[in-house]
Amino acid sequence: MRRRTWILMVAGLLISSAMVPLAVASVQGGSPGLSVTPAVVDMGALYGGASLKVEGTVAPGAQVLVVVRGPEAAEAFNKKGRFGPVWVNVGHVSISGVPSLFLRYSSGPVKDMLTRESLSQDQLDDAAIKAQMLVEPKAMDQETIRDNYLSLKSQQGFYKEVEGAVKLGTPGPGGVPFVLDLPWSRKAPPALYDVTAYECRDGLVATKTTARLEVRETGLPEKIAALAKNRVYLYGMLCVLIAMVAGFGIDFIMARFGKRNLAGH
Amino acid sequence: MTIFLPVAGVSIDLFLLVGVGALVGFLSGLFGVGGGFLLTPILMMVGIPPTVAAASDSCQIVGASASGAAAHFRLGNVDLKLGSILLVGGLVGAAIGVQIIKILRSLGNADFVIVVTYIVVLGSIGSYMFVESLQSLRRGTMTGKPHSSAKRGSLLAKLPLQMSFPRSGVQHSVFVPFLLCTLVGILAAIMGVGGGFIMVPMMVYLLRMPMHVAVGTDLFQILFTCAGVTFMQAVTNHTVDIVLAILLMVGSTIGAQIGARAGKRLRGDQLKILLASIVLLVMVKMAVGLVLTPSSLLSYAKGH
Repeated sequence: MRRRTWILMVAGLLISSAMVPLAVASVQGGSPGLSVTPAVVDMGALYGGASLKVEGTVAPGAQVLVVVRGPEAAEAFNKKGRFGPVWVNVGHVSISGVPSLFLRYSSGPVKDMLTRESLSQDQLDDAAIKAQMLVEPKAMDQETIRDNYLSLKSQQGFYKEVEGAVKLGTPGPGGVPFVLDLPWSRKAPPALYDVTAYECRDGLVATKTTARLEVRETGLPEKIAALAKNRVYLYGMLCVLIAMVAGFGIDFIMARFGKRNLAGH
Repeated sequence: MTIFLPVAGVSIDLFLLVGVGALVGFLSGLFGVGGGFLLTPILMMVGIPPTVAAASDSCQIVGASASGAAAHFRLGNVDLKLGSILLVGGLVGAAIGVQIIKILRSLGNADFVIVVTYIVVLGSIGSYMFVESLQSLRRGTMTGKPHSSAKRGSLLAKLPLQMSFPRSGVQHSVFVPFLLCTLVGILAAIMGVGGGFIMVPMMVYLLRMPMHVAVGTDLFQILFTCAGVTFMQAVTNHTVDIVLAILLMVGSTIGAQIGARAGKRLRGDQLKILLASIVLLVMVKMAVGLVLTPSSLLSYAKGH
């Protein structure tokens, strides 16, 4: 009986000693808790963008970086060049290895939060993205093309960096809450996006957590897109038919309206 | 109020699209041009992917030209006989033009050739129309009247298969409108537009058709050409956005009706000088765009 009690006590001590670091990690943040609300954005007929809220907790003293990344896919471009005094397309370029969308929001100045090495390691800025960008054909001026790619994406609003957008709350028992009000661009195409929160401390990424954001077509737009993709002949005929009916219909209405006006005079 | 375009995959202001459609439809009804050379660049400027803009533009032109052609038909401005020959010629020309583009693309300088063709064609037609209409307006003569009595070149008059076109008040060998339209079709295919802004001046100056009949007849042939293009784009490229086309149509069909009525109140010379001004403006914009350094050296090759 005594022996059994001793075994239970030792086992209890071992378990509780193992729990202490876990509890400490939890208070320090461990991996930052993260939630995206809503997690699914429905692109219905009257879709005009969305307002998202990214929330979580980090350990006291940490800074936060939230990054939204679009799926990587090779993109084809025309490259312009001088042909005498004029600018024309002089070749084709394929760019891959980089996210189709890159939105970075931070709780403070990023240069004070992370070292150059950390930014590069987790691909957290333009320089890191440029370094991982694959440009084909390789004979082209790589540096110019990389700069122009980032500039184009930035003009479209698909690459953006905002400092101070992540708000840190009052420290509590569960850590320091953070919140980011994220206006989701109506231009962003339907896809699965990664939303990653980085807990930054002493110039390094201490931990990171990723949540998924799904942007999808629903309702009538989804049905029309499916018809246009899967039943092409029917869709093509419908397009022509609808256009003709609309044109002749408007003419009919306008003709009647015009006659009535004339009769009125 | 925003609306989501399912094929384009973008969300855009509804009233902006209807307004753009109305403006282009007005020009379509007024001048008999499809408006593709104006609408596609405007749609691209507001964020529609280029391929979707071009294909959906064709679809809306079907609606606008149906409305405009019907209005002109009631006003007696459609020459069905001549229009049918023009249609066949235009389709043959378009087929040849597509092959020429393929060859140019394989040689690598297609884009340069396209832009230079645009500037030369628009500049030539626009300048000629502008000067001629201005002189005519100063003289105070009505050149929009039929020119059937005009002495045409003896060579054209001697061509076989002479045919009378009472609606237009002209007589030509079948080969003349057919070959002219084939040439316009080739140019239209190279330039990637419907060709109305080339076709109408050709009809007026080379076929000697009255301006109003040229406009109505051009709308008639555009209706069938763009119906074919829309179907082919939907089947092969999946780039026709019917929601976008309907919204543009709502604006353009009404605009086309107003344009057709406004056109009836204007003299042929006045119509010509207005069209010449628009053609020259587009040409100048393209020429300036060629010389200015672009904001980005990259542009999407397919859509986006």
